[in-house]
Amino acid sequence: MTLDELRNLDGAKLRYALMDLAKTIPDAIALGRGDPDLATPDHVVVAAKQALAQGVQPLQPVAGMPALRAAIAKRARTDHGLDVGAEQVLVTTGGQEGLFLVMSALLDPGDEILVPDPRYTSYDQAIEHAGGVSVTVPTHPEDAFDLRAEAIESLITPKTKALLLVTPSNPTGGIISREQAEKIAALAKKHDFVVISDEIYGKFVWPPHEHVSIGSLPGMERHTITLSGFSKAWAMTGWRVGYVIAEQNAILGMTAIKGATTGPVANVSQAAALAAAEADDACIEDFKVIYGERRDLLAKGLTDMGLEYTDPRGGFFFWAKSSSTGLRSLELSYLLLKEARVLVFPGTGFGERWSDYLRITTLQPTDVLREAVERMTPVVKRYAAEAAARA
Amino acid sequence: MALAVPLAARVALLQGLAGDGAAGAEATVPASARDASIAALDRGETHYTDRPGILPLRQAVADALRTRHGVEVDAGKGVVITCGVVEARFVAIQQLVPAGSGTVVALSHPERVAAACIVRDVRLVGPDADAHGPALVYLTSDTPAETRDPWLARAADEGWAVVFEAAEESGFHPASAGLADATVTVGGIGAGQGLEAWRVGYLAAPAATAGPLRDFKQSLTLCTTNLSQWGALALMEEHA
Repeated sequence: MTLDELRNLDGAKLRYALMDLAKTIPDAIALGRGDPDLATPDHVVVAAKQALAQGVQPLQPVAGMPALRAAIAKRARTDHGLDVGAEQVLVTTGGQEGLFLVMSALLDPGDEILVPDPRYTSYDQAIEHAGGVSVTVPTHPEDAFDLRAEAIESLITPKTKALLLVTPSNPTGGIISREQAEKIAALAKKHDFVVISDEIYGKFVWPPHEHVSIGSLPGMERHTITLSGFSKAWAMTGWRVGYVIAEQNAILGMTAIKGATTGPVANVSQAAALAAAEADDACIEDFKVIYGERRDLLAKGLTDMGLEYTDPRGGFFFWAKSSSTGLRSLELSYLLLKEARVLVFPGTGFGERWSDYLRITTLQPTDVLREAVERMTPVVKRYAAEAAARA
Repeated sequence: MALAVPLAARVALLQGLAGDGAAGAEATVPASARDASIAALDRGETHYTDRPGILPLRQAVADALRTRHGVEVDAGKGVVITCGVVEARFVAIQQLVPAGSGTVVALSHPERVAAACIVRDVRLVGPDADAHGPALVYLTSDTPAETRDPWLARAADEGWAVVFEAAEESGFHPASAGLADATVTVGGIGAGQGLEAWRVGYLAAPAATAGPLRDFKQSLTLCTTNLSQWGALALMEEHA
């Protein structure tokens, strides 16, 4: 695929086209997709093998294995302060399906949903499928991409049905601060809209910052649908287990839709997720140490090569500016892939107005990440020098 | 919290349909599938797969369709591995019938597509009813010839899509009625052999048709469970 062909793409199609292009380049290093490279923890794999060894695999209820629903509810209470029971949990085929079910159940055609910008554009497809209308809420580097409640309030109309809150954010690494979460909660109650809180990266928030589950704030039980899953926290992307937490009537509705769309989640995956949910967080703490080291390595590398970025407060991503090179991020992404054999995603994969930004993941082993930085540095510096000479 | 109003009505219809998925699936998992899944775990197959599924499984599906039905599909561009046959049916109906104005003509087993039709908001009728375009004809391996043949002829005349749910055995396929380009074949893998709870199915179609179906499946569930795909592959190879 040529650069001109890529220019005709945006959102998920652009990201997948670049991933396909990277597959044609020998020894390309992928700093694109948000798939943790770390292995699923041993105790989870052992539990899956034990389930396999049982021989008989009964189909589970569409809403999920009862023990898993109970374990997720317990974690929601203890980890995030959400006052929920097992009947308020729906186990989904990854977080992606959870989002689809939420949008399908919540949105009428023409309903408006407020979506932070930039955003993981796969949200767009679920919203469009339900007939909803996305209204983007700008976020800014000077706020570390925190959402501003006043920006949200200015966009509320009688058609506003929901706000999508993604914390930590994909792609920016920003998080919702407690101050803004409290203001947004007040807006949700005042204007009677729902906050869909995607917390899939919630286990990875970097000190001194804290993860805030907006559903735990006073009076927000009726105004919050929480989305999360096992893919990122336990490095379980291939198992396809996510979940939705909401009021029971919403869960019953989404369960009915799920019965029509995919049916229950694979039961070995549910057995594995149960083992993850019931154990302590020691493995996640180990992951945090590893991801923290990588974050520091990549931060130094980007600084040394002269790419500006906002310190990520959570998650796996850096959101860096391409402007020092004099290139739009699509051009720079393409050149980095061709000349440095490193895949990063251009900002237009996450919203139309982000053509000067790159999303770069930390999801490679440290030595590979270091190699990627070494390959990128001379390319970035060369284009930056050319840009400086033209100026 | 209020559900979307049109859907709330549809949810009531959905909840009236039988079953919560928990019944009738007690069966012993074949050793081949179990061992292949354990081996996959030992290899670290715990990450996303390619969004249409692992290529060896897509190739096995293409080979099976050729062997069982004489149908040629491109494993690379025409086969998508789904979360059971339920997702395959849903994706096909979502993408091939317009919401509101469309009709699904189920020539057999209407209960298998009833829920997907409710979610899509399309009319579901049987073979004795009249259908107005745009429509989709749904049939299965056990649809009687006297029922299917006139409807397939009409589908060919009207340019309607056909969704054929194939059994895991040799037999008829709409391609033999000249409808290869119009047909999306869907099926489960190992559902009758102890793998129903592994949630592996497929859809197969000409590449131009399969592309949008693959994209929609990706937006729904990204990909199908990794270790389930390896288990399903082992079972298909065992029965090839």
